[in-house]
Amino acid sequence: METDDFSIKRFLKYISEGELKGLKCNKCSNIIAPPRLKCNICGSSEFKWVDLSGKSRLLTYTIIHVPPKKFASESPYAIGIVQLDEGPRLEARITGFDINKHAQILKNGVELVFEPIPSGILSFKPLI
Amino acid sequence: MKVAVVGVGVTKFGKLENKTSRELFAEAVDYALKDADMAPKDIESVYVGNFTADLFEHQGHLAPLMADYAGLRGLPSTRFESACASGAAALRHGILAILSGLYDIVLVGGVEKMTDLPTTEVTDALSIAADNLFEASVGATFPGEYAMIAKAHMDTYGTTREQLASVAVKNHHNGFLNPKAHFQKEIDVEKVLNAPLIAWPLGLYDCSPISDGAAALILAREDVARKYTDTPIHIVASSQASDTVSLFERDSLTSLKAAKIAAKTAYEMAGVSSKQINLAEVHDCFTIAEIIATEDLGFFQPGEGGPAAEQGLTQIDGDIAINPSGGLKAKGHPVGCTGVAQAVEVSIQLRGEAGKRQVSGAEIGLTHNIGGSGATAIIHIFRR
Ligand SMILES: [Zn+2]
Repeated sequence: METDDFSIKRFLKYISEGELKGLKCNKCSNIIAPPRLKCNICGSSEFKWVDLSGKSRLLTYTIIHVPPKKFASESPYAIGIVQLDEGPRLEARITGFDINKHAQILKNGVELVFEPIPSGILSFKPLI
Repeated sequence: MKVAVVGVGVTKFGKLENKTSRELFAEAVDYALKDADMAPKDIESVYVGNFTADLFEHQGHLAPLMADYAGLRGLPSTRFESACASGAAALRHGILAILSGLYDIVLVGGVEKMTDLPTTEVTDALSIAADNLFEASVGATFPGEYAMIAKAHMDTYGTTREQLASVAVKNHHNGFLNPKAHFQKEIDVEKVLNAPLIAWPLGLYDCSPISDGAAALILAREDVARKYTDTPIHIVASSQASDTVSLFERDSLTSLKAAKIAAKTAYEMAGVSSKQINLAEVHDCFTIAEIIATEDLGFFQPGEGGPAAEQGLTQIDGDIAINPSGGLKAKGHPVGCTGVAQAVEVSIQLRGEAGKRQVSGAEIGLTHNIGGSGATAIIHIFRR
């Protein structure tokens, strides 16, 4: 894929390949994820892809007991909103912990890391 | 604003197996025409709120179909889709059409036929109101988005599951007093807390039901309204705002910015403060949504909505009556109908015709209709 493809599809493809990347604005160094046409700080459209650390904090979460049809076999599962150390927020699966103990483990602000899973769905796991 | 409600109609809400959307819509229009003592020929244009008959009934091109079956064939008819705020979007555009000077009398209707599909497919259909690429794709559901708002509100303000439950208990009580409501039975806090989980921390009784239903309003320019009714209900504000469709990109997870902006605009437009509102029909698609609505609308400070609900301040005879109809929670939530049905309830209340659920001395009422998890907010204020 061309290096100047700053599309959402490219962003999602990186995730499905186990990589978490974001756009870095050439003008103001702002990190953008998911991609937008223009930098939300300075309005520039000049970017480069950079690796994101995957380190993040959990802002809120839920346990899905009644899932959409597509994910019927996976419930119950956790979904959370994470804030990456680099700034952007994302919604993702939270995996790699005992879901029966979610209230003890997924404390407010708990540290998470990006954790690729076989399905290619964006996923983070608690650092415990 | 020079626009008044002169006729209202609403069908029974619930699982109405033998009725399709066009039959429900026609029934609501029939009630509204009778209420206004009007004939179809008096109507000049039609505005239809509907979320997704496309998925629920495999039916698009809804507005002319609804108009035709309601006896309004030939009129300009357009459907408005703004997820769960589709009804208020239709209402707002009906108002704008009269304000434009083009029409004197228009019909606004809302309809949703949801119960033909099994629950899992309804869940899928409703999830299109979320961001498909970044929310639905990871397995989020609509209850899941509000569950994350609830969890954030609990962490920030100490809001409890019991406080959420008190919203459901109150709305079931009000629904019990409303013959058109989907649910007409009282529940208690224990029942809410012991219900199966849908999306933790929200259980079954924290969620509005899957309902069929339709509602209709006839709007008239103020100077012709008195020809049809002695009790026109004046629309004194119509406001709308938007936000990111995805919850994770919002500035706040404990309030809906679009609702706060729309509320500020509406109060300015009407020249009233939140303290002057006697009753509000708010978008309680989930119990947490009602608590946040009462904060965003300025009835209570941020974090005070939960305790206020628990203390009974939002009951029909409380400081501010919230959802005297039973709300989405107990009256039912036929998605694209809801915004119109809220305006029907406020009109009935301001006329003093709400029977057992009447808010005594109601002069000013408000409707608060939200699309998705807060990307669309539409507020209307009404005066008797
Ligand atoms: Zn920039």
